[in-house]
Amino acid sequence: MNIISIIAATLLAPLFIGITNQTKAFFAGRKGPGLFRLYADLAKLIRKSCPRPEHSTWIFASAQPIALASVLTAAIVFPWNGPASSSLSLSASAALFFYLLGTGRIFTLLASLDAGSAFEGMGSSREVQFSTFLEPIIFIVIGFLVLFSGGTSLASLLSGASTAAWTDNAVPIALAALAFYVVFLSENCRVPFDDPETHLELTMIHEAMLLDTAGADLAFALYGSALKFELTAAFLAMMILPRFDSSIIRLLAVFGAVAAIAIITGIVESTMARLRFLKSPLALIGAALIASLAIFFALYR
Amino acid sequence: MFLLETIFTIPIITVGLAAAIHATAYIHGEERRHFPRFWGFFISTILSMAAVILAGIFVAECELPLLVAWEAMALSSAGLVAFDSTKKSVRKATWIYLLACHAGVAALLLTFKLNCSATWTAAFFLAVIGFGLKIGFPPFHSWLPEAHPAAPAPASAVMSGAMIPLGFYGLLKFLSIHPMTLTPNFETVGWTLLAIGAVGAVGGILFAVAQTNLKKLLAFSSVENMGIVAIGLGIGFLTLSDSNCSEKIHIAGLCFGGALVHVLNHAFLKGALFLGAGSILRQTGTLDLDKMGGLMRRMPFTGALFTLNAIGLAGMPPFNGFIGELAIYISAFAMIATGDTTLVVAGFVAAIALALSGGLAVAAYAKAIGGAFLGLPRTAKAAEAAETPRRMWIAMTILTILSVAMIPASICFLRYYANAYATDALTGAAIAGGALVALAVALILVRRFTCPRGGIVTKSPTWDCGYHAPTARMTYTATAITQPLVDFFRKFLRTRKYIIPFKGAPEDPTDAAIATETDDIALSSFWRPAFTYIARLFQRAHLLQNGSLHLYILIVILAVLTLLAFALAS
Repeated sequence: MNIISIIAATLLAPLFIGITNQTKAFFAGRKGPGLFRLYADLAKLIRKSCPRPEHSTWIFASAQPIALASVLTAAIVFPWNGPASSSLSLSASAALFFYLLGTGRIFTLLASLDAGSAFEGMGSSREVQFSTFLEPIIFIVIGFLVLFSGGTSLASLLSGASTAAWTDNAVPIALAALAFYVVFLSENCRVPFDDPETHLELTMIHEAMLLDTAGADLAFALYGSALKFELTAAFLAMMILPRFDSSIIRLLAVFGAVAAIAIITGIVESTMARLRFLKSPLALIGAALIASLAIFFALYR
Repeated sequence: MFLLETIFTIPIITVGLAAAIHATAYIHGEERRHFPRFWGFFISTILSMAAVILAGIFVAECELPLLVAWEAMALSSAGLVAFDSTKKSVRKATWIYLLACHAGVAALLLTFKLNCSATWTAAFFLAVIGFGLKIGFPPFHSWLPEAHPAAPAPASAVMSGAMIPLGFYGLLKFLSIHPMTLTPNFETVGWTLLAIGAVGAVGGILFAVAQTNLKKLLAFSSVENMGIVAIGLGIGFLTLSDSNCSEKIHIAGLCFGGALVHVLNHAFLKGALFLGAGSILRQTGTLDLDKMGGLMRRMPFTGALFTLNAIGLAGMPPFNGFIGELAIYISAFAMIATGDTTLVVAGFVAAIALALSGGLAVAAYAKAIGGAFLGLPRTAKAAEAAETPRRMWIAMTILTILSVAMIPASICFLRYYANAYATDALTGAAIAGGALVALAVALILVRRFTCPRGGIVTKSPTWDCGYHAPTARMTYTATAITQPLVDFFRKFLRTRKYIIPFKGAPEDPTDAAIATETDDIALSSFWRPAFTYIARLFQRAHLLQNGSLHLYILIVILAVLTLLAFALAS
């Protein structure tokens, strides 16, 4: 069951990117690339060789596989089946989950610096700035979940509240979820922090770091970001969803919620402009304050 | 069982050995004439550190041997800092280091004098100052970014990996000999260490991010890591002081165990990084990250070892630096889960400080690796650098192997000796780390299999917007990578920028340049004004020493009269 859910999650990941893109196409009045575009792209790219900057080193050559491996490991430790997950997922700490995503980030960063282009340098310098502000928000939200659930492992944080506790704590849960949604947007390089559409422009972060990545490596990078999108959306979904008795229904509910988050993200991207880079840290600090507010509501209600 | 002694002795032996191997090649050319002086001070530093450990065992009976060994350690390591004494900056750094050491010993003398029931709190704060001057607690850390760049790299490795943590050994020994009539106030101890640790962890790494001198960056990162250890110890004492918590022994075991594990992890990782910085200095003649670049291809072994250790120290799984931090994270979460207000607040402070310092550490080490080893070489010397003699990277390899061994060793230690809470989470983290490595290898093989001609084949120039002649001046420098962060924290960092503007036409910016320098805020805004003020105060005493013999005789007569009056009165 656990292996099946992990395989289902890894297979479904590109679909959610497709859902976001279709939503955006709907708002723009376009026909859109279709829900399964990323699968086709990945199938095409994986069969291509990887041209590589001539002075780059083993860092560039191994970074994308390592980055994808760390996101895949995060998918393995993620408690897809709640209390019925494998013992590895049940004991895993929330810190492990987010630090695994961090390992992926640092290797992407180093690869972009290895290429030595000014564009990639710009992307990586923005990435380090944003990720610095993200970490505290993530851990305030985790702290809130620990306080709320009374457990310390990722599985117990995300087990979902009973209906009574859930209705009692609707306000703090909503605030924490809002703060984590901001984290989700920034972590996955979506509008208003980054724009995945703006390939080859000065304004981007994550795409800028991948300018020299091509072929199978690009497939790894694209798939890695799709999986990260799904994982962080599933984290958000499990924060909000109440407790389910059946783990199959729970898994289906989680995937449904991830699809809903993908649609919401598409709507946000269609209706909102990107923030100025200088304002983005302030938005993140605002999210940190919202998360802190959730804790105060939870402590003194 | 001598658990504490064993843990603090391991870095002395291992980092000492690796540094000694490295030093045989690090000191080369003309400097070899000074070999006897270097080895004399090096060996006496190692021996006096061992003496500190031994004296610590008997500190309950007599504290004098500890103080003597502490002073011997300070003096012999000052000899190492002063090794390159022809340079003015080195002499200045030695002076600051000696000042810090002796202020520390002075505080410690008072500490052990006041260690009785009535004045225990005062003694504790003096111990925090005295041992904190060695550890680099803020604001007493100012000697670290001065002394480390000045000292030879093997000496920096020993001082940062093995000597600095001895301050924690001393502090824990001091706490173990509290007067019997008194239950030590663990709440004061805990909050003090947590507050100092949080400030040190975040502030230290923030200043590391702003540095362009590689060894200064590593020195500030030591402040950060000692802050993390202090956070672990602080929340451990706070958990122990809480009377309601049922699992407090196990949670405290995880806190203390995590802090001690981090001491060892930091020793191996930072030892290897300082040795790597020394190798770079020997081969390129500079420690300025903006003047390096592209060294990975010129120095493949040093580069690979430096990269692995730097990512490890940034606390990323699957490397060992993560295990200690994870233990502290889990115990902070366990404290929040108790719902007890004190523990909840402390847990949040610890977790947020760790998260913020973890995020900044990624920036600092991405800057160090990227600036030194990746991209294109930015100076002729960097372009011509060659790999070091084999001994130098073998010394780094020894420490790297120890780092890898730390992953299972620290989990066994926490599970069986510290009797810690939630060790299955740590085991899970180690398994996940193994899975990460296996998956990465598998993906590289997949790429080999699916790609035509076995994956990476073609090499092309770096894409720079269609411009086909990328030069080293177009690559991002170390300063540029962290510029947005440094600018964001400018009020706190007070980075000075030296800008040479465009001279000629704007199309030809070859003359333009920028350099930045970030001073330690504690030194520039606290210690220097404080010492200037004290010096001015003492200048007033010049009134008594104006060269007039009449005044001197008057002073002597007054003194004699006062003494007479005093004698008659009593």
